[in-house]
Order: sequence, then C-alpha cells, then structure tokens
Amino acid sequence: MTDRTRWLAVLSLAGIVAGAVRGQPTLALLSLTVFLGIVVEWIRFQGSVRLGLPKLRFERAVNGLRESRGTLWAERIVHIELSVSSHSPIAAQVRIHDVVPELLELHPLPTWSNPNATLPASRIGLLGRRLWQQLTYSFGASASLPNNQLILSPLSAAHQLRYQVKTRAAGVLSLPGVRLTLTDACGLFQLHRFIPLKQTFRVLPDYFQSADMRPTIKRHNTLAKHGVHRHQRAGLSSELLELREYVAGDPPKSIAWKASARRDKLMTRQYESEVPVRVQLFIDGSIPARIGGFGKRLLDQSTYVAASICKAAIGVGDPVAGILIDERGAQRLPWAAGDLGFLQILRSMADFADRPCPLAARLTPSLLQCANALCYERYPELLDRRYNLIPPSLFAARREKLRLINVLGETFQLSPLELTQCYCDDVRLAHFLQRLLFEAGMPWMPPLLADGVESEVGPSRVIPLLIESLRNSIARARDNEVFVVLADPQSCNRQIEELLPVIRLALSKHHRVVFVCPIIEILESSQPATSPKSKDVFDLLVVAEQGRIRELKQNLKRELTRLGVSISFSGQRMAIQRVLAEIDMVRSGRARTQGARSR
Amino acid sequence: MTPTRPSVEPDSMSPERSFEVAFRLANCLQYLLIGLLLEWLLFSETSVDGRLRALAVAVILLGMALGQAWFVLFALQLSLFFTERNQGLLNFDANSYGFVVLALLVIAYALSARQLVPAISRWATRQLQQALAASPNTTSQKKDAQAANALHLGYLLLTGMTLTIGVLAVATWLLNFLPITPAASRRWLQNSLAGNGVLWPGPTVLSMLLMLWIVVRELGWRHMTNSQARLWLRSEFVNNHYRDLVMIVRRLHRKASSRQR
Repeated sequence: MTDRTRWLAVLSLAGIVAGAVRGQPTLALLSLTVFLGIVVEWIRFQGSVRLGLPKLRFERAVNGLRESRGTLWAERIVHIELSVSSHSPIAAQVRIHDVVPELLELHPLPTWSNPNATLPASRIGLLGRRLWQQLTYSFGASASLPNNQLILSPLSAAHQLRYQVKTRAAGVLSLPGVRLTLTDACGLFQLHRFIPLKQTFRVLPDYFQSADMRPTIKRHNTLAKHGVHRHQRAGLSSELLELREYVAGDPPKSIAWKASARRDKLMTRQYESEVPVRVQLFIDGSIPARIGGFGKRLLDQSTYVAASICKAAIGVGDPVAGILIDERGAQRLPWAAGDLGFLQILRSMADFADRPCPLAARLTPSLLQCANALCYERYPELLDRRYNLIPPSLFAARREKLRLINVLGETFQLSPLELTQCYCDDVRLAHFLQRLLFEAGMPWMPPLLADGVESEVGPSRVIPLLIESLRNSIARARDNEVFVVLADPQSCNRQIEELLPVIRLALSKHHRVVFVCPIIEILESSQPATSPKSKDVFDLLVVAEQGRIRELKQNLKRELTRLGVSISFSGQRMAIQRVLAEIDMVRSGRARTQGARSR
Repeated sequence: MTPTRPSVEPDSMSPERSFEVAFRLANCLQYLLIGLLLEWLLFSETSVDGRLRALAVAVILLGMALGQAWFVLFALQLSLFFTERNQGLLNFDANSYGFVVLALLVIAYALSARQLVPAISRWATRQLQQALAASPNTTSQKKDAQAANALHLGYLLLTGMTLTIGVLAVATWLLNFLPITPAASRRWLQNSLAGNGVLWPGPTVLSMLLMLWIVVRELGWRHMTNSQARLWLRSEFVNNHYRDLVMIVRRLHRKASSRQR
C-alpha cells in the first residue's frame, strides 16, 4: 500500500463516519465507494501479481552470448538484450530495471543525467528542484527512461529490452539481476521484487591499437659506441654472424666453399638472428593507485599502458613477464609469448584490478545512505516491514539502520549473535556495509572508503616489495632486459632514496629501467597556475594539489634522469612510445648520451 | 583512451518539435478540462468568489500533477460536508448518483494521471498528426502498436467504468443494510430480539471476517520468498531475545577489552 492509498483510506473512512453522523447520503456514498474501490483494487492486484509473478521468465544475452561467464574488454561497447516472457498475463504495470554495476556506463548517457550538475545546498532548494522535476514531468514531454529500464502495461507477451553499455575499466564484472516494480493501474499498490540473474565477466584491460606505435620522429642522433653491437646469436637470418668448422648434421647448402677451399677444411656459414628483448613489467596496485572511479584510477592508466606494451612487444616476438604488487604481496607472472601468453597476462591484470578494499574504521552517514540505496535497488523485498522486524525505537533514522542491519544479516547469513553485535558495534557494521558495497561493484572511493584513508595507511608498503622484486629480477635476468615500473608517483617520490640503489644496480648490469608514473587528469597541469578559477574550496584545493604535483614531478625527473632512467608522467600514448623507444634502443644497441633531456 | 570505435546508436525515436508542442498542449488541455469539471463539482451550488475558486482548483490540480490524488477526494468531501443538506441516508436521487459517478471518475483519473494523461495526449496528438498529414508515413508496425495502445486504453476505461458502477451498487446496498438510519436500526433490533438476544448479524459476520483474515494472512505467508522467510525468522528471534543477546554481546566486549589490556 502506498502512502497516498493510506491517505485515501483514512479520508474515505472519515467521510463515511461524517456522512453517517450528519445524515449526508452523497458524502457517505462517495466515501464508502472510494473505500470499497480500494479493497477491490487490492484484491485484483494481489490476484494478478501472485498468479503472474512466479511465471515470469528472464533471459539475458551479453554480446549475443547467454552463458553465465565470459570475457569482455574495457572501454568497449557491450550490447545487452534482456528477454522477458510470461505464461500468465499480469494486468499490473511492470517496470523492469536491469541493474548494472558501477563498472558499466550506459551508452549513450541518459539525457537527464548531468555529471556536472550541482545539487542545491539547502533542503528547501532540493525540495524545490524535485517539485519542479515532477511538474515538468507531468506537463512536459514524455519522460525518457534510462536505456536499461522498460515499462510494460500490461505484460502479456514476450518483450525484449535492448541497450548498450560501455565498460569503464578492467576488473571483474557481475550483472546481478533484474529489479521489478509492479503497480496497479491507479498507483494504489506497489510490489518490489529483485529477480537474480547473475552473469560474471572478466573485463580485460584495453590496449592501444595501432599499426605502429614506434615514434616516427627521429629522437636521438647518436652513433653506437665503439665495441657495443647489436645482440647477436645464431639463427636463420640473412646476415652472416661467423664461419665455423663443419660438423656432421650441418646442411650442405650452408657450407662456405670458397672459405673451405682457402683453409683446406670444410667451413659452415653461421647466420645471425635478432635477440628478443625481454620486458618485465612491475605494476603497482597499492591503495593510492586504486582510489577513484572506474576508468579514472591510476591503476587503470597503468594497466592500459602495460597491456599496450605487452601487445607491442609480443607482436614482434619479445617475451614479457610481470610482477603485480600490492599491500598483500607480489604476484609474479611467468614469461609469456604469443597470443595465448598475451591473454594470460591480461587475465591476470584483470583479476589484479579487482581486489577487496581495506576495512573501514568508522561508520559514516554517507556509507549508511549508500548502503540503503543499494539495498533498495537489490533487496527491496527484504526491506518490507512486515518481515523485517526490529526492536522498538523512537527515532526513524535508527529504525532505518536496524532494518538495514537485518538485510545484512540475511545477505551474509549472520547468526543472531553476530546480528546483535552489529546492532551494538558501529565498526563491525561499517565492515559489513563496506563488504556489501564492494561486492556490489562499487569503486574505491567515498563512501566505500572513508575520506583520508590514504593518509591513514602511512608510508607505502609497496615500495619495499617493489625493491625486493626488482632485486630478484635483476638476479635472474639475462643480458640487457627492460624493466618497466608503473607506480604511483607520490609513493616513488617519498621513498626515492630507497629506490635509487636498486636502479643503479639494474643500470650497472646494462639493463634499461623506465618509470611510468601516471597522474590523475585533473591534477595534471604543465603551466603554473597564477590564481584559481574561483574562490570555491574545490578549485583552491585543485590549484594547491597541481602545484604540489608539479614539484613532485620535477623532483622525480631530476633524481631519475641523473641516472639515465627514462620517466613518463603520462598514462597514455606518450608513455607507451617512450617504453617502446627504450626497447628499440636495447635491440639496436644504442645508448643514451649522458644528460639527454627526457620528456 | 583508445580511438573511439564507431558506436551503434540505440534505435530510439525522439519526438519531433511539432509533436512535442502538441503533446504539451494536449497535457495542458486535459488539466484544464479536469479543472473546469472540478470547479463545477465543488462550487456549483455555492457563492464563493471566482478568485478563490480558481485558487482552490489550482491547488488541487497541482496536487494531482504531483501524484497526490487524495487532494481531489478531500476537496470533494469538504464541499459536500459544507453544502449537502441533512436529508436522511436513504434519500438517494439521480443527482446524488450522477454526482458520485462523476466524482469517482475524476478521482480515478487523478489517481492514474501520471500514466493516463501522457497516454491520452500521445494518442490524440498522433491521431491529429495523421489526420493533418498529406501522406501518412506510418509503417504497419507502428500502426499495430498504436492500435494496441488504443485498445489497451479503451480496455482500461471500460474496466474502470464497470468497476465503478459495480462498487457503487455494493456501496448503496451496504448503506441501506447497515443500521445507520432509524428504520435500519429498528430492523436490526427486531432481528436481534428474534435471535434470543444475540446481536444480529454479529456472529455470522465475525466468523466470516475471521475466516477471511486467516485466508488472507495464510496467502500472504505462503507468498513469502525464501529470503523473506529467513529474514523474518532471524529478526523475530533477535527481537524476542534482544535483551539477553545484548547482555551477551556486552559481556564478550568487556572480556575482549580486558584481554587487550
């Protein structure tokens, strides 16, 4: 029963009494008719819904495939088709909402969504805006639903809901199911249900697709140093490497007859082939790299660059290995070559991008609000007050909180004692709420993560792991490998003194080291800002942060280029080209001149 | 990050400018007609000032536009409360029935305004466009869809009328049956005395109500989902043993704190 139905019922009962007492037949008749109409409508609604709801069938196809598991790619359009059919017609109006997690973005974006819109500061302003929206909906053009929603009235035959979404970043995507809202024709009664229809996909990171990512502009005009040649080994090229004595089994066509006649013994021509350049990627997945919305995190930029480098390297036959580092430890990826190896690396990166977030230390109102909204979307039947019983409380906010805790109890199958512990302990409740939001696919940002969690973590635990991994890789490395470190610039800058010795060690063994330290777009500014755009707190903070990042970049660049290490602060094409240029240098045997400027 | 691939736009139709304007005009026209009808129903036998009438109707229409149809019922009840004469409850005439039917139709319209108003406007605008167009460019698929919509609209209206008349008949019978008027009260007293002093039809009605309540509650219970049933069991247990559970939790917390010290 909706609120307006309650008002109608109360008014009609009052009208019956008033009409009976005052002897006003029309008043009594009108009120009694309205009351009986509500009762009849309830019976009709219950009959239609109870008979029709169990017979609803849903089926979802993602890019034409109906399997429960699959693979998608980041930053690509995905076509989703939801089929709904019913063996028994439902006379009520059915609103079907195919719930999509945060990792997906509707494409195109709904016309009413304006990411830059600011909400009014006051409650009155907010109420006014909502009233205006309702009025314009009533008097204006037909309301447009988001693409993943459909209203059917009545639902009697099969229907399809087709829409497109775009994957924002790599990770693990879970499409949970369909939310139904059934309403009678007069809007007096409503029933909410969530139909689980789970499909899980691994979203592989995107990579730069171009025929040739090598820079076309000549960058260095240096000649190879004396004594440094291309790395050569025996192979099947057309270049002559050396002449050696004939051994049984050598092909007759490789015999060098003239040299053999000169030396009076059989000599064989040995040809050379290019030595593959081994590339090792070190990807930082620490907390600072994961904070932010999907597609805007530092980790997303790192995985994009890493995937592009993998693709380019494996495409020319260079093997690639990876080490994925976060606070839990370092995960070593084996050497990979070929398309299969490339896919295995991408799968590992996708799984790496999906990790549980650190536990919250405190319960915040925004965390409660977000969790409530999620439960309303995904567990509407559990919020029904007839079944969600709570201890008595005078405060509406506390009652709402207790109902939410009961929903958590059902979702995570908590015992009554654990449930009571959540009633009494806000920290425990915060942990469960955070787990609920994370499993629903929320990114690592408020309210999932409390503000300032980054500063609570302390000095990065990832840098020591990175140093250890670099040391191990150097110990196992062959000649002239390329180490690509994709890390958070702030952690690197803070602990640069600890990084320098291992970098020197790598360089002393003739390996190449490249640092890719992506920076969030909004904080990237090459020009020193003289004044902020406005006196808004956000603009002032942005300008202050931009200044700090600029200093950080200069410091890192100074420290690393002094050693001859390349560094790029881009998470896009420039970083990829820089790394590939280094790989090409190793392949050609060239060395960078000391003090050359790096971009 | 990657060069954008050519994306396939979803196959959605946005209304043309003229359709948009005609649609909005049709919406406003509907509200205007309902406003005039409400004005006649509420103030026809009163001498209220025109400006006050306009203000009252505007407030009711605003409530309707915001989905609060009880504004309409409240206004009608207030109007009847102050204008209808005390004439005995059995004195129904054609005017009463006519008023009630009209009022019920307005209330039903107000209840479903958010769906019905756009649907009617859309249908009317399309009919007008087709009538005015030199060469109608509607495909057979669109025509079928429009016909289905019109059919559904007609079905809704017919069902609504039938239900209204049926409920009205039941309400009239109930008002005649209940012991509200002196004649009905005397009849009930005679029946009760004839039944050995038991208040008629108390036992029968009570038993029927009890059975109905049991049936409705059972149906409600049996339509619970598994998760709702588990939720109810868990929360009912916690509620029943709340004090004991809180005592246990506090004791555990004290033990944990003392161990940490």
